[in-house]
Amino acid sequence: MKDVTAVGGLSGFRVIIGASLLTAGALLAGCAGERPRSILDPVGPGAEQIASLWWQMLLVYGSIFAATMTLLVLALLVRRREKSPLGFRFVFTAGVVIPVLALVSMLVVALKVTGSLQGSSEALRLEVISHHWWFEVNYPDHEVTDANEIHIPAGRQVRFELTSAGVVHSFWVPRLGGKRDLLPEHYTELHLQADQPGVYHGTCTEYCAGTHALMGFRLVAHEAEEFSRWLERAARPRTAPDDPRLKQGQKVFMTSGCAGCHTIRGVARGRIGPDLTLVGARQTLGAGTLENTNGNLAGWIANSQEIKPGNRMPRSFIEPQDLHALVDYLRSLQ
Amino acid sequence: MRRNSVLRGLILLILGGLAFFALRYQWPGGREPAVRMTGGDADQGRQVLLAHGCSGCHVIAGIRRATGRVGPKLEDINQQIYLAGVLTNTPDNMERWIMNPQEYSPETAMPDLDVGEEDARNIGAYLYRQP
Amino acid sequence: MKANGSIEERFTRTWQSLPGISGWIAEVNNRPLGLRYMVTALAFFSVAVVMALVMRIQLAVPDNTLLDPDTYNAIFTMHGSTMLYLFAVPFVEGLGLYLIPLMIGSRDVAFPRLTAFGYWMYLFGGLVIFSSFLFGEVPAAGWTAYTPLSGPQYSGSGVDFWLLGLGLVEIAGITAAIEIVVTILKLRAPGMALQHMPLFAWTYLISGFMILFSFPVLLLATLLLELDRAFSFQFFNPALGGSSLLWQHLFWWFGHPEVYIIFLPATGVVSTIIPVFARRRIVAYPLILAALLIVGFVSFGLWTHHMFTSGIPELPMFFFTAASFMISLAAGVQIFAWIATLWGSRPRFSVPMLYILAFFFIFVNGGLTGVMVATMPFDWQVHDTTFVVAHFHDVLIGGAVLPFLAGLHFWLPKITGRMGGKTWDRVAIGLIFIGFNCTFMPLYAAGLFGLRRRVYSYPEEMGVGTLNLVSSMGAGVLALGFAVALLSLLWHARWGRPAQSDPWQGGTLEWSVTSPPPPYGFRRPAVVADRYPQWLRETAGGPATEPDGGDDYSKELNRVAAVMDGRPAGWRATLVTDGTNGRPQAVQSLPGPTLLPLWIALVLLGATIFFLGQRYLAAAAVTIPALALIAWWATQNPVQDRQEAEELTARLKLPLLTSGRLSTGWWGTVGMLAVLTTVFGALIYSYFYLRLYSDQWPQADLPLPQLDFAPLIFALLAGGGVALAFSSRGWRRGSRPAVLFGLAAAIALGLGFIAGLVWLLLVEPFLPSANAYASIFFTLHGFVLLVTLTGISLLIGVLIRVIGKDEPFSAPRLMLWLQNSEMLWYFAVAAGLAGFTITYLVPRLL
Repeated sequence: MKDVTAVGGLSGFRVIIGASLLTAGALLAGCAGERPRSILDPVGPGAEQIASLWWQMLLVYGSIFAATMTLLVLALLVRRREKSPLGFRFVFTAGVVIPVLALVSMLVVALKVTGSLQGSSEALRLEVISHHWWFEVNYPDHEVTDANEIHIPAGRQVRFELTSAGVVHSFWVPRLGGKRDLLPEHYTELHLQADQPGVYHGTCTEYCAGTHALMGFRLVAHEAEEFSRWLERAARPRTAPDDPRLKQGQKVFMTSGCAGCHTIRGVARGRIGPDLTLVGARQTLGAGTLENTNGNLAGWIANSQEIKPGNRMPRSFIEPQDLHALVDYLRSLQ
Repeated sequence: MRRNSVLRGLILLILGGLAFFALRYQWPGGREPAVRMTGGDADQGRQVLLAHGCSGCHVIAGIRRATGRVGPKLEDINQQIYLAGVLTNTPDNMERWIMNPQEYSPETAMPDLDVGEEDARNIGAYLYRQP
Repeated sequence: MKANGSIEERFTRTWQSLPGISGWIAEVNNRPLGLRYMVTALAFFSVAVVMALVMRIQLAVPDNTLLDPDTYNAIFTMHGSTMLYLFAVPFVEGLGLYLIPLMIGSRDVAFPRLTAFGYWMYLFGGLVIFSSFLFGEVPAAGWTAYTPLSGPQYSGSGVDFWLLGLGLVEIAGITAAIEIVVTILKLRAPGMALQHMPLFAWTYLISGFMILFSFPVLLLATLLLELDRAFSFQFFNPALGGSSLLWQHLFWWFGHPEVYIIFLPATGVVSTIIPVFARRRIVAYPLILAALLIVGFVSFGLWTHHMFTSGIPELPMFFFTAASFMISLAAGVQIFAWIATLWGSRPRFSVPMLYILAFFFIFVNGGLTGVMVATMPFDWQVHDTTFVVAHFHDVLIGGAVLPFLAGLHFWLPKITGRMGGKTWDRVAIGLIFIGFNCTFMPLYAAGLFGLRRRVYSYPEEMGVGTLNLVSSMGAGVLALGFAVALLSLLWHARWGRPAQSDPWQGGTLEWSVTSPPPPYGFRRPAVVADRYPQWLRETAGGPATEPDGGDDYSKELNRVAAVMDGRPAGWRATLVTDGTNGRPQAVQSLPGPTLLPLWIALVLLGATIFFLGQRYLAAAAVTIPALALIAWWATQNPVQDRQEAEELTARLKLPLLTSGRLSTGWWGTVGMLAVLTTVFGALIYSYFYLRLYSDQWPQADLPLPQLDFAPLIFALLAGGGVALAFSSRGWRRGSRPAVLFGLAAAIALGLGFIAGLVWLLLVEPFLPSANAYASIFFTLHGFVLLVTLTGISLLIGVLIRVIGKDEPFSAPRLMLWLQNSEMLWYFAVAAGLAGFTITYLVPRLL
């Protein structure tokens, strides 16, 4: 009776192992393209190296797992004997010698990967400063400041110089490479490169309370020429708008308290919230929280607290017509 | 042994029930009347609502991401008599309002989001559906 | 063997617990207290599981609105904190307190009152943390409480509840560690040499040492953070010279050994259960032992693998990858030793064995993903994602909770006298196994797809909705499994089939006593000559026969055991044996029931409450009665019936009152000094760490510490050391005047030093709140001050005793006082001089 249960239990055991591995495989396999933050869908050399490291590790450690489980099942199934035929030698070989070989080779592979992720001195320099629930981005050689969206040229390494204006955050673009923390006490560095143009998701990845879950950004990789054009456009001096509606919007911006927190180059200088000089062209609002459309922008300005509770921007009670003008004005800032 | 299989059956039943419940979200049952009423596509309407950013200002039933509290909550719209307090609640008026709110209520805070006719119809189909 | 009725009765009465509620509160015996620890831990576990369920419901679908961000953040903080601080370690401690004395043949642990005190501190600490719910200020900084997020600028008073409650719990952990280490080293059965010790005891010994060198660092870190929050110190404030990474280093120095402290005893449970169900001795005991020792040491060299993304230079960090690989080897060795033990054994698939099989699958999985996560470049991608969450739940639930459940089921007959269940527990195991894998396997994938941890919600476009739904359903099944397992244990504890003393044919000593054990544990100390004394005893012909090695040594051990049978009857005592070979050395008196530990814990709780309420002076004032009670505690002398004592000494030829290495009190003081050294070491580390990352030192143009008076003041302390050395020589030579003079001089010089030190601090032109340099300057001095004050108090106590009582210096109790106070005083002097060198001289020299 007991043996039947035992064998039944073991068969069940094997069924479960098989089913789990199959499920795992199926879930992992269905991954390409539809998951914008998948590390298994790399578009940069850094992420590629690490993804390949993952597959190697899965193979090696997966085999060790399978081998260990097989040994366990065998141990339970082989014919009964008084003393164990396995002693010190088995334990040493299986527990030390073979794992050492596997681990040392993986260590070497990992060391190689780490080495290949080093930065080059030719990298383009960008500075990112994290705030509570948004990212400030500076292009130091070009006097451009942006927020929550980073533009880089594809095919060229970028060195991110990272620091925090408050608590510890983390900077991560999964499809391009690993993450690096932003610390308040000194700068840290991260080298990333996008091989192809595209829009990639980034997030804060160190718990920072409140709406840490809604603190993200977009990283836009351009063809080299397109990037230069973007940078030029971003750096050009701003003139006052001609359109009366946009003029009205700018007036609303200045008189409704927005200028107290937000900077618009040539118009206002506020140091608390994100720089809005380029807000019109951004992909998202609220640090990767919402798509940048007129509707969302209006909703964000009027009541961002319901969208991103606890963020530093208060509700605004602007007259409806002023709200329309403001939205049009902000969308024109590109 | 028999007690074991009864237990196993019970557990499977419970698990099955949980799965059943979880998948209930996707039941399309309540959409037919809305589709017939408006001639629009409720699923498309859901996409359009998100694309135009309506969730920025409105809580919308069935879209968890829509948490905006700038305008009224869009739940059980088909129970309302008036739209925005200025139009009677009909599928055609709904379309008109969405496409050009300021024509019917010049002071409204709802912006003109440049919504086309087909998109507006689909939005209507989504908003009118029974949960 | 004297079966004298009245001695038997007296003996039992001596060890009996007192009746009623006050008897329950005054309990100091290890078994009721160990059970209390375990039950409380399981209660906290249940609460934390409910929190986990709520979290999983919130995460079941994208963009869910069940919980708002702040509530979710509070819940995950409390879930992690409860599981790690209020369940895992206390449960380990409770299991150890119950079983270790039984397994090593002792009647109780070394410091019964300390055990009771530890329990109350644990309970009160947990209640303080949970009381934050009542005030609507739940901590939400994670169980790791990184700075500056947990600092005064970014977190509300919830973190204060967390820090102070945790401080109380930490003290409980540290006292339990001293307890377990001294018990295992000194109170083993006669003949139980180290190599005969069960692996379960080894894991506790090693874990105990690990606690002594890791928990105090967390205690210091929480103290420093609370100083930042309550008194505007600047340790972790980068704006004023502090460092956010300093917290991380201090925390993880504790945090990494912490998980091995939880895991090692779990492997001890596995190493105990497998031989019993395989009906074989464990294979490769020396190799397993070596692995355990390696884990113990190497676990202190891994902490930075939690900080791989913090921007520390890469090549030094890679060393931590290599070290993490090394420790996985040590864990792996055990797995194969267990497999070897099971090979061809056709084990009984009873409930504990089935738990162990589930453990194998889940833990090996977790161990291997741990090696993956320890690989630095890979960690750069998966750090702070659900991949890591799945990994640590694998190793904690698979590697710790499952063995604990196996152990509870295995030892249930011994603890309650009733057998556990068969059917419902198997159902539970199935539910737990399926539920666990459904919960956490999808989270590995979700982490690879970018799902972060500690997020209250995730967007639909990430494509991890289905994975999370499966995970949440699995969580329901897992929770159901835990509920069934725990309820079954509870039910069978009350109504299970009555059990004999050895229902599993286990080989270790606990199975030689009745189920449940009598209040004294062992009436006659067991003589041990083998790792599986019960099996040896069986083959030798029944439990009544003692293994007779035939040689003189065995005969001597048996003689001692025979004399100790049911003795002493008038007071609680147990045999003290040599730490390495188990030779009997002395008899240690143990205290009976007392309310004192509860009083002290209550007073400290009161101080904590005042502190939380920001009444700092009141909090300080309240500690004075606590100190008075502790002083009274220390002066309690063991009460021995003089006639029986003389008779016993004559027959045993062993001392009944001891000092030095024969005395548990001496070892306890050594343990305390280890703890203080660890705290001081961490403080020195913090000093140099802050200095390393500062442009100038002292920071912000603060003046260097003046060398006008400081050398003189510290010379007073040094003089105090010399004075005590003089006194020490005096009592070795029996010269009473020398002792009195030396003690008095040491006390006077010490008090002079204290006054001078306070003056030094008062004349400094800056406050601790000026910057991090100022904070550590004051804190280092503060540590020296407190330790010196403690030393002086002990010296005053000794002086009073020498003056008041007329006893020879060879009286063991007095010698113990002299030895302990000396050790502490020399430590104080050394700490003071080290502090002086570091604070006053090093900035000038380097």
